[in-house]
Amino acid sequence: MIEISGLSKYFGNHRAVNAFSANLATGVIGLVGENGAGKSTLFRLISGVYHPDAGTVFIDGFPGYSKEAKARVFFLSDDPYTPHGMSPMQMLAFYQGLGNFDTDEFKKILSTFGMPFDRPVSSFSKGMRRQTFIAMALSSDAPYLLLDEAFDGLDPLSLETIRGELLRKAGKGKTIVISTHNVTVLHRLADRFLLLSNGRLTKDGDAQHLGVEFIKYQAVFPSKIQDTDLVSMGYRIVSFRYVGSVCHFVALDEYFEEEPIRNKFKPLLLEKVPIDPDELMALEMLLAKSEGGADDA
Amino acid sequence: MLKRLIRGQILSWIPVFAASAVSMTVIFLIVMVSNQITVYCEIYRSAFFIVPPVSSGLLGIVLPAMGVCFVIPPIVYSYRTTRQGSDAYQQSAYGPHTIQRVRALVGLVMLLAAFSVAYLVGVVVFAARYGATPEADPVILTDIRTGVEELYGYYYRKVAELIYYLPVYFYLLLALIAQYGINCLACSFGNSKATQFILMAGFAAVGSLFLSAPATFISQAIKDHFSYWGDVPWALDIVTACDYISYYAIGPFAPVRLCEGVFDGLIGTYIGPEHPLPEAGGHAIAAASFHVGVGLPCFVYALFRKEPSGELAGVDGTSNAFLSLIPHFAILFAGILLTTVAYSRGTRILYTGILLAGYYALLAVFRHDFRLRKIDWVALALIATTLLAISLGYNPKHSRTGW
Repeated sequence: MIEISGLSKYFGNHRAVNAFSANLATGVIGLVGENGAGKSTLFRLISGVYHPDAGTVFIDGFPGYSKEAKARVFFLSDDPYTPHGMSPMQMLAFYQGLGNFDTDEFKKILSTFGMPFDRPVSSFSKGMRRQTFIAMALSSDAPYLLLDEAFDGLDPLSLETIRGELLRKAGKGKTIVISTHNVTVLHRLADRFLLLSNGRLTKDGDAQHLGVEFIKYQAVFPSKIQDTDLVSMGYRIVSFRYVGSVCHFVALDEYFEEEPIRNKFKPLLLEKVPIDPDELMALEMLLAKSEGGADDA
Repeated sequence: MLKRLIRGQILSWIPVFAASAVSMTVIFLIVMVSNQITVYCEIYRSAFFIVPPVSSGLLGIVLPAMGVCFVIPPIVYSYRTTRQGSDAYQQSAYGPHTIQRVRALVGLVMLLAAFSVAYLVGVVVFAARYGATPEADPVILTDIRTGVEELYGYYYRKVAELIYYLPVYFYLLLALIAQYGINCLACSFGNSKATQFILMAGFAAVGSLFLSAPATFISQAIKDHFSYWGDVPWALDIVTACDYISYYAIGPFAPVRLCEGVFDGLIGTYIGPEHPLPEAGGHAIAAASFHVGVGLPCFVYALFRKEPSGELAGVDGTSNAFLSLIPHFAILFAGILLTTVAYSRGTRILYTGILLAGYYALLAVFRHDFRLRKIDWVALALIATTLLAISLGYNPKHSRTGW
């Protein structure tokens, strides 16, 4: 288990990670947050690339940054180091010097992904390079995999293949922490979500717990209304927009009652609609941001 | 597992080795193939001249090799300057120190191997050409300077002694390790390519400015005399900034000077302009000894020093950002130039004052703070003392009229 307690990291006056605490056990864990929320910095702190300014990391009981702890983690950054002119197998040989990888497993996963073995990785497209590195991460013997922007540049078919491989590895007891902006895939993959905003952990729970506080409606009013009309009635509106004559709005569930709206605006249509995972995550981020505000030290 | 690390490193270093070896070999070969080795005679104004073999061609290898010493260390420490590199290396279970050591040693092996290939090829080609030129053997040279105005300032000693290429090779190995070590130490402090180059240049300036004085004294002790030119013994009026760095350098130009001033004459026949310093040979030996003597411990220190944490990929994680060193090195460069443009003690003292004021202004600009810290006072005192020592100097054989 990775035990993180009070982890903080500053860059100059900017606090990139702010007193982050969580325990990461087995399964697939989704780390989400807006751009600059501190996801990559958090990964770098856990994997020992950066040293924290405060807080501790323990990996299977070993203090972070110790050899034993580092040997248990493989961090795949959003833009990993690609030695120039090396084929996937040569690149694995290079990375073998920095960690332990199962060559047969790497070949097998590469074949599953349909990657060429003989061309230089640096000549691959972004998506192909990503698949090669994910294959390398999955062939690592480290029990903890940290995959930053894991699904960047991948087509739907590759995404599906990778999702299958990730679930297979997670089923064998690996802990896989994934940060991505592709929340739809993550939703079908992760058992648990960590929401990061301005370097702080603002939400930690399973997929069912995400978005429980939101309620989304579509409505048609006889005359157009503004979000301020709803706010003035005491509703907490998170999102409000018109598509044609149909008004879509999301409010915080705990403050929401339909009756006052029906009575005041006499809507022709007012119905609750489901929220898709991408929108849900965006709403979570929006809410976290509005509650947290800027947090530069 | 360490074997795998070394194997992976060698694999990734092959292009660097190939580029270094090819560039050094090509340059050295061009010099060694075009070196004039045919002895010929010419008549000018009824006088008979013998033009002997010209030079050992050593500058053709020592200059590019010293240049490569400024290229490989930034590559060795490049993993610290890019986010991709630091992500890959810093997360490794070996830890940054082992990786730093392995990369520095692999880089050194690549440098020495590339140099050895280039040196061997160049010398073998030169020896073959020399052996195939029988006219070169029987020439006995005499001092022909007197009365021959066209060759004034040139002197000849003897024909080529190829055996001296062997000790030169071993000396150059040491000099390369020394220069590589100095630059490795400089680069190990930098966290971006820009700071690494600034630090390497700064370390070279430190060698040229601060270590030149003791080297000069040793040189004088060897030759048992002081310079007759100039009003101070180690800052001659007649030398330019370029000459200054060249003649007084403890840095990368020390091996160049030794090859040019000493080895060239041992192997071939020195035909360059007569050296402005009478103690030049002694100075070259002293400077080269200092260079090796300082450089080797620098390399050992670079191998074993612990990297500061959080100073990676251009991200200054602590207040100890190395960009703050820029004012210090800027002042060192200005100090070197000062000694070459100021012709009298009076102006040197004046320039020293201006220099120190400039230093203070630079510090204030870089820090956005006009207050001086304790360490700044120490640095100011050191710089002032050194510059004043250079400005005032001591030369018992010179009449003190320089004010």
